[in-house]
Amino acid sequence: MKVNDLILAALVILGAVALATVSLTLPPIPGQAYGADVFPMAIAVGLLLCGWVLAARSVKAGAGRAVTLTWFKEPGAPTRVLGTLALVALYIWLSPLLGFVLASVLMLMGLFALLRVKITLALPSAVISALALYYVFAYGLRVPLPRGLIEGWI
Amino acid sequence: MGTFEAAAALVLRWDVIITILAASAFGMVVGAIPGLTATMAIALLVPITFFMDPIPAVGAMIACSAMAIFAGDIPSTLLRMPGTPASAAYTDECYAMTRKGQAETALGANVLFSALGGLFGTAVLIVSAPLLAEIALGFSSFEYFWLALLGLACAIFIGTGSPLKGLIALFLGLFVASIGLDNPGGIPRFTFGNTELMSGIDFIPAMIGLFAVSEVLRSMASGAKDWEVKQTSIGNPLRGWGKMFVTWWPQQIRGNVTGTAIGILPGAGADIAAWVAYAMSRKFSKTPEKFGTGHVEGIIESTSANNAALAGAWVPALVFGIPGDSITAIVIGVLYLKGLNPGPTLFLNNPQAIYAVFGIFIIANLAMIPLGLLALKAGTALLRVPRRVMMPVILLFCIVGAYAVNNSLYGVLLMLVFGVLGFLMEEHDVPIAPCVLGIVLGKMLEESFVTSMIKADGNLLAFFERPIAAGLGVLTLAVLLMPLWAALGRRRAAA
Repeated sequence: MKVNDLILAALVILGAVALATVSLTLPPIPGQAYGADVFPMAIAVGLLLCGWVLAARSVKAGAGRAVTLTWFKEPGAPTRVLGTLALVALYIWLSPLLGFVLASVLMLMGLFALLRVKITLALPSAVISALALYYVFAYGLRVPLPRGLIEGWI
Repeated sequence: MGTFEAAAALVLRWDVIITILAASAFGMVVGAIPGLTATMAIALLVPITFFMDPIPAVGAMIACSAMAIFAGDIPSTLLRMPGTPASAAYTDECYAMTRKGQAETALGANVLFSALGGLFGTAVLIVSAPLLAEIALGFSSFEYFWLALLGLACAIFIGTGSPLKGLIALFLGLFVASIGLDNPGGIPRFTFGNTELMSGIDFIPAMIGLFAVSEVLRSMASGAKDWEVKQTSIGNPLRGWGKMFVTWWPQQIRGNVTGTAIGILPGAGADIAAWVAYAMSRKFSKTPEKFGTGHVEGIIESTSANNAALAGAWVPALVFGIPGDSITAIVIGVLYLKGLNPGPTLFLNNPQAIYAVFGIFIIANLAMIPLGLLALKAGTALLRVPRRVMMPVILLFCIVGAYAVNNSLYGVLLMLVFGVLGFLMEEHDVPIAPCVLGIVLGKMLEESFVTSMIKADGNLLAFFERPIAAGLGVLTLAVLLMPLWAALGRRRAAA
């Protein structure tokens, strides 16, 4: 994937227009000229100007000259990044069902697999860190981490 | 009981001292790992400080950040990889010393002058903060508006390579700050019917996302390869301290002054202080040709500066509630949570807390010398822990921290969103610091503007009618317009 400043500029301008559109719907403070809409409107105008200048600059510099994102140069990088995001999402979904410890171990094992850590190192690392964090936060700091299948025993 | 005794009673307690030591150790670990910044150490520490009393909580943050900035010099010297961005300015110089077999001299200089720089910054903080607070008592919404704007302007134009992208980041931060019910109209803004968003974006999960999760994603992208440690054993770092101190005292003092001044400036912190100090050292040196070949002079000046900046950044943070850098931006959030709302009234209502903060600064910087020497031993071992194991565990730590803020998975989701945002921003060279300052200062900027306009009945000139407001206004406009003026000058010169 290649992204250059022109695309960033387009995103900024789109965001600015969306922000301005929503800001227009905000009701004013009765009897006052300055209400809840002033600040977001100012942000929208600022973003619009920034997007405009950025676009003009990248056109001048030759918009065809795309910049390769560093993390896409590394083989397998997109899989690892998207995989990481998916694993955190999986944790959010599973932790209320399975409890903190199991959900964490699953997530960590997934991450270790993405990084090709040997199972003999991965499994003990995952179990020890999940348990250590559970003890520190659930017992030491009294954070009610999600309890599930095995938290009752440990 | 006087204020000092009360402050001493707050600080000289076993739990506070142990907290300071533990936080120093934590800062050492995070700072010594390349890529993990001092700001990230603070962001990760916040969920733990939640469960502490105000003074140990603040103490933990001071000790952790001071130690992290110093510890960043360890991989800088041994691996040519700055542990935190604040070490980047003199990484090549330190590594050149390692290649000459003088790693212990470089590291020894880093320990000693980091601690001395921190103590100098602390002295300035102790003297100037109460004086400024006295002045700030007379400030109204007009002055606060300019102060907030000045902080934001400095963050864009001093702190970043591309002011345009800095500005985009800043607007993004201001937008995040505008979400929720807490606005002049008291109406739900950009919440789209979501009740969680009504109270605004939770600051701490956002910070953990922007600073820590984004770094984990970057490591995942690059495959989290291990580091190659070149020199594994280091000699006695204490050797030559006396001689260095005597030979380089003017450089040290200059570094301290530069660092503290840049730290006090809103929006610019330790990273920039180190760059400026290193450049200055070279410019004024009698032997500039030795720079870059493993010469300790520049190291002393810049390593003094980055730690001095850390204390300096607390001046605007405590007195005005305006962060001096991204670390104090997070600290301000914690101060509010702990009921120590920053501002001049804190000096009136709770002076013992202020003096306790000063005391912790002194203890943390003094403790840095013995702890730093220990860290030199531990640091080399730490760099051998496989990164492939470390990064996933850090991610789990982030998740627990974001969850602990409100004991809800919403915090984890927020952290994830901001993690992706931070990752994408840095991949496109959009700096994160202006965005953070926008999030922190957004409310103050909006509130002071709207309040002022209501007071002045819409007359914009009212922002220049009070003398201090007018001075701050002119200064802010100068910072904002300087780059434009410089660009025009360049264009004219080219024509």
